[in-house]
Amino acid sequence: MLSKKTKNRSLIFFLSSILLIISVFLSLKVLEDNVLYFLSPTEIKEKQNLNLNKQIRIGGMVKKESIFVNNDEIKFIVTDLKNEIIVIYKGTVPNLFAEGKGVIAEGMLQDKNYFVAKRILAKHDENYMPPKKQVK
Amino acid sequence: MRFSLKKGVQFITKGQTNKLFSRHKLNKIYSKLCLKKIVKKSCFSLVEDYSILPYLPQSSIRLQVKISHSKFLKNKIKVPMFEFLSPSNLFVLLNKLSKSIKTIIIPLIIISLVFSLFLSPQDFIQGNSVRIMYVHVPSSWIALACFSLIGFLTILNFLFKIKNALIVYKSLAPIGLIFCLISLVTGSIWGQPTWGTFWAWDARLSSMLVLFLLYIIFICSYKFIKDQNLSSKICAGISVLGITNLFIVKYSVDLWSTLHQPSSVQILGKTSIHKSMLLPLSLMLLVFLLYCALIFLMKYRTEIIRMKRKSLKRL
Repeated sequence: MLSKKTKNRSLIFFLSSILLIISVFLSLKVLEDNVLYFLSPTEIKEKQNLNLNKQIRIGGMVKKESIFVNNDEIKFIVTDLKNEIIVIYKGTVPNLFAEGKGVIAEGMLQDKNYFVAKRILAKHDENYMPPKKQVK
Repeated sequence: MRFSLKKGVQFITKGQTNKLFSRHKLNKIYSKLCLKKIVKKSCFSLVEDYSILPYLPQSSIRLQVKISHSKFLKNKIKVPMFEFLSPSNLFVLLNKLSKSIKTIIIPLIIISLVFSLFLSPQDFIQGNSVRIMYVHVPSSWIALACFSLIGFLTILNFLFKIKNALIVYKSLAPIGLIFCLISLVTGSIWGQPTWGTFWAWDARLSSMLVLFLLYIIFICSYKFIKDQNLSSKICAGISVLGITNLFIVKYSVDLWSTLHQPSSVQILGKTSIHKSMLLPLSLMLLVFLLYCALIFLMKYRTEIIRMKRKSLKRL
């Protein structure tokens, strides 16, 4: 039904597109460390060769009743419900920063449980609802 | 003389116009006429007429035949009826469609803006900044959908050399580019009050930027490469890359940890947007889609005219 030219074209096309897709996925696999925007406390705990001088991002939930405000310094605990990291930060926090909400801190690890943040980003979830429903 | 025109010519006898013949039919008529020595070869002359250009099929041209009306009628050459979906008919239909869209789009825009800006409730955490969602989310959907359509059509055009697919993707690409830009800009405006930053190099945002760049490269590759074959090959390559990128955009929030939140609306499974917010969102999507259709129809007609003009010049 198809002409020979069309068959040739489609053969070349499918082979090259499969190769292309495989190469894209392999390169993503190699770059996985860079693709991950932040590490969770558990991932940090399990990681073997952790470079303490490199700037990284950690993310998780702000533990409830863990926020301490001391002058302009803020101290809170990031948790993923398994492991926890204490974070210290100087400066203003975004509006959505609150207890029990997602947070991403950018900065340096002092050790595996202690993190000095240079920047705080709030991560919000995919739920949208009017305020009244939340109260119920 | 054989008619090397692709689809048809308009055959004009004295007083009779607007009869469209296919190339095959015209060659038949011509040979018939020549055999019966009604007309000489020199009687046929090509007349360029740009005023009727939009209403003619691809590569068509007016043909003037200098024969007398009575002689022509004696032979009783049957004139084929207009096909329903011939390009010239389609042209008129598209005109009507775009007119009807134009009439409903303004009221719809007003209604959906009122719904999304005033009537819909605030979000329980984000407050009023959630209203950016009503622009951001539909425009990103459209940017993604546009590229998937473009990719499909490009591959179709590359494999089977379908001319119509070429015109369609040429007219779709700028729309996708604009909506991709809107999605990026509104996303970063939204990011400032909620996340605390305009831009972050996380997987979702970066892959969307890649999509934007692919759109630009795609448009450049058909705009600036004159060779049709080469440009369709390059477009096919870009669209394969783009389609892989679409999957990365879609599943980036589920596969990797990103700053961007996972998708709220899912076709299968539950949506995590409250009903009172889903209504303005879907209205906004409808308006955007109508706007897309309008721009697409205008672009499509322009491309048809441009193509015909090109083929006229070649003659």
